[in-house]
Amino acid sequence: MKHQPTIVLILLISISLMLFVFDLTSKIESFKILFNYLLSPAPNLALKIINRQKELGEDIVSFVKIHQENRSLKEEINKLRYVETQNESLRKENSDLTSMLGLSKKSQQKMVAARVISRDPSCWYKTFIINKGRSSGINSNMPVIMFANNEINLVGRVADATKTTAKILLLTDSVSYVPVKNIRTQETGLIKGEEKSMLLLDYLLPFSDVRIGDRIVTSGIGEVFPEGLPVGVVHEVPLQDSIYYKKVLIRPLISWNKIGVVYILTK
Amino acid sequence: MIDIFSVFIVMILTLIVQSMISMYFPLYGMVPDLMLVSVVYFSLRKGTVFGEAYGFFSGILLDVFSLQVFGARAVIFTVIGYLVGRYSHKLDETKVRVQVIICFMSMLFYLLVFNLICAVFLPRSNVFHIYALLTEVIYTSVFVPLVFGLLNIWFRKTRKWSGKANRI
Repeated sequence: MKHQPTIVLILLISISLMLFVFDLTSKIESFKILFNYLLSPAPNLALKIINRQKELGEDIVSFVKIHQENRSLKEEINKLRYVETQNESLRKENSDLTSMLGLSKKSQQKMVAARVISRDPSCWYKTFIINKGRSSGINSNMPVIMFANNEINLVGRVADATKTTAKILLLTDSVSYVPVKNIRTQETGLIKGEEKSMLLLDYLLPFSDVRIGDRIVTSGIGEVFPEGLPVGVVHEVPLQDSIYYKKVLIRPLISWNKIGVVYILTK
Repeated sequence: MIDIFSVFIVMILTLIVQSMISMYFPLYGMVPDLMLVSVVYFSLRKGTVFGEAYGFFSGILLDVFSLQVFGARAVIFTVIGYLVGRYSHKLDETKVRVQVIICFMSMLFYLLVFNLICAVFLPRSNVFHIYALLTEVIYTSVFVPLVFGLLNIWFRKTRKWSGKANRI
């Protein structure tokens, strides 16, 4: 029994080394994360506790956060599925009514993503160049939109297209005119560029009811821009200098300085 | 039986106290390793085999509750239990000076080997720093007399309870 401590030592070290060899660190870690999470009755409570226990490690916190995010995203997906089903039935109903009335059907449009590759500082509010052209199905007068802060906003239209690039005319260019309407009142007008960040909504009737915050979308008149593309919100209703038409300042939902990736609505 | 049970309680309590100190009293981010002090205590008091076994299981327990190489502390604590146990009969463990020196050396050995293992198995882990190591060793050494004193009281009490239980 003189060698008993040495035998025990060899035995225990062998077990420890086996733990090394089998590399149980990640498995034990996963088990710990699961154990900590299961011990807490609700994800919110778990998150509160974990935020207090800083030493538990960021990975556990991120695990719980991901789980919560996953849950909320699943809920969002379910809501969107419901909306999609409703949309589908409304689209069908719309299509049936359109054919019954003998109206021409609106074409379904596809989106082509493109990246801004050039923007001339001297024409900052006029044009920019994108990296897609005719070879990607892009042609003149196609609407250009972009997404920012979960909002879609009209950016302009294709002014000219080469095989691999296209020039986009911004809404802010002074030669840009877009037929629009006020969502709340359905009154129509024309958006004009003024080569600054704000847009001018012109040709509203003098007595038209326009309020600050009203959402302005494309009216679909003219067939260049499809109906319903957001252009901006009413920012200011200045004192009118014309007795024939009312002019209103529109604030776009996007920043003109943050245009990176745009989408071209092709036919 | 009651002896093993009380040792198990000591192990769990040490872990809890250690994590509480890490939460509320860290010194420059360093925490005293009370578990190692308890390994040294058992190796000095109960001999090599007990020290090894206690070192192994307490090491596994710490490995489970840490995010580093699994099994690293088990190996080191087992070796410390063995080495301290081997020389326990030559040392007077009742003297505070002896307790502190043994714990100081064990802690130094533990941190050096542990950082070496982490450097090999977790190459992206924090860079080992000599000042941090010394701070941790000294901070642990401060707690040694207190831990030894508390464990002495605990085992005196449990021995009394076990005596009463035997009489019943």
